[in-house]
Parts: sequence; C-alpha cells; structure tokens
Amino acid sequence: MSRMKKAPPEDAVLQYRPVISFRVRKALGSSNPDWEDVVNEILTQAVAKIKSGEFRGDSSIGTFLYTITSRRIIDYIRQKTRILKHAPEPAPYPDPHDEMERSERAKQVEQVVNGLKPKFRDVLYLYYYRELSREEVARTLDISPRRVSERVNYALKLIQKAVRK
Amino acid sequence: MKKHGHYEHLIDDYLLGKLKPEDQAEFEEHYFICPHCFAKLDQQSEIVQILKKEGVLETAGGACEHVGPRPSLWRRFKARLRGRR
Repeated sequence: MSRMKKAPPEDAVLQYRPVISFRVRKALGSSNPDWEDVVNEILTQAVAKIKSGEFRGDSSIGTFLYTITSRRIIDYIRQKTRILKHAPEPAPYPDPHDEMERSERAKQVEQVVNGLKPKFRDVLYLYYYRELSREEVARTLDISPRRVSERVNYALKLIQKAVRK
Repeated sequence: MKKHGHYEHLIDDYLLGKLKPEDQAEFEEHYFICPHCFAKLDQQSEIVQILKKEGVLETAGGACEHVGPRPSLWRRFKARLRGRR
C-alpha cells in the first residue's frame, strides 16, 4: 500500500478542465453559450463517480474522463436537436477581454502571414482556407506533398513564434 | 502505444474535420491522456481558426493564380460527405 496521501478526486479531475473544455467547445462550437455548463456537469459527474467507487482505476483517469465527456456531448446534441426543432437559440455575448486577446493574436498572425513569401502564403491558403488535402495542394502547385508539409510547417513555426511572444 | 509523432501528424486533419470517425475518436482519447499532444493541439487550434477566418488569407487567395474562388459551404459539405463514403 502506498504511504503517499492520495489527492482528493476534485483536484485530480479539475486538472482535466482545459482538455474537457477543448473537446466540448470543439463539439458544440465555441460560440455555444452552453459549453461551460456542459463542462461543469462533466466535472461534477466525474467527481461523483470517483467518490462512489464507480471508477475503479481499471483505465487511466484520462480515458475515464474522455468516456464521460463523449457521452455527455452525445446527450447534449440529442437533447438540443429535439429542442431546436421548436425554438431558435439566442446569440451568445462574447467576453470583451477574451475578444480583445483573440483579436490581438489574430493581428499578430495576420502580420506574419503578410510577411511570408507568396509560395508559403499560397500553401497556407490552399491548405487551411480552401481545405484541400496535402496531395491536392501538391497537385495544384505542382510540387511534392512532402514540400507542401515543409512549407506548412515552416509557416506555422513562424506564426507560433510570433503568437508566443 | 503509438508515439507522439503519429498523433502530431493528425492535429491539422482533426482541426479541419478531415479524420475518419474512428481515427478521430482515437485521437481524442489520446489527447485526454497526453498533455504534450494536447498542448500542441490547443495552440494550433487557435492559429488554424485565425487562418480560416475571412480576411487573413484572402489576399493570398487573390494572389494565388492556381485556384478560383472558395467553393460554397454546401459544396464543401457535400465534398466531405463524399470523402467519408
């Protein structure tokens, strides 16, 4: 038996808030006003299951939370599909502070993109904006798929560097 | 267990909705247990969202002589459905 004191389930589960939030926002859309409530419900449910002994540690806690998150997302979508048939969703109010930070980062990205050579900008445009596959971009620009990956990775590195500053 | 490199290659396709449902589920389960891949995914997600926004790459589209205008949302949706079949 371990002599180390185990962290309370709340602490262990709360460490996963960012990853659960990401998954929920990706599935429901960041502009969906319900996403934070859904995340809180998942966290509460997970803590309750751990406390009741339902989570026995057969899988990792990450896998356990992934399963709860996926099920809750499916339930939410089913529920909303029924409700949306009757009433439209009100538009959410964006957080002004988050909006400001996002817009600042968007400007930084735009600056880097504008400073790129056309051969890199074209690849970004076809790959991210037009959503072509790497092979389709390669055919369109008459270069190899490997060269497409190199150009995408190079441009992304520059963008990531600028955003991290 | 697959290495980080395998999952890092899937980040773009995941963010652009190009993964097959089974690969998507595997990737999602992985980033729940891998802080390294999740950190990369989180950072790249914001950049991809910005790049997809109207305006940021539009000028590149204007300059790119190889392609016509962006297809409509409906055509892109249909193309994606075809790809999944």
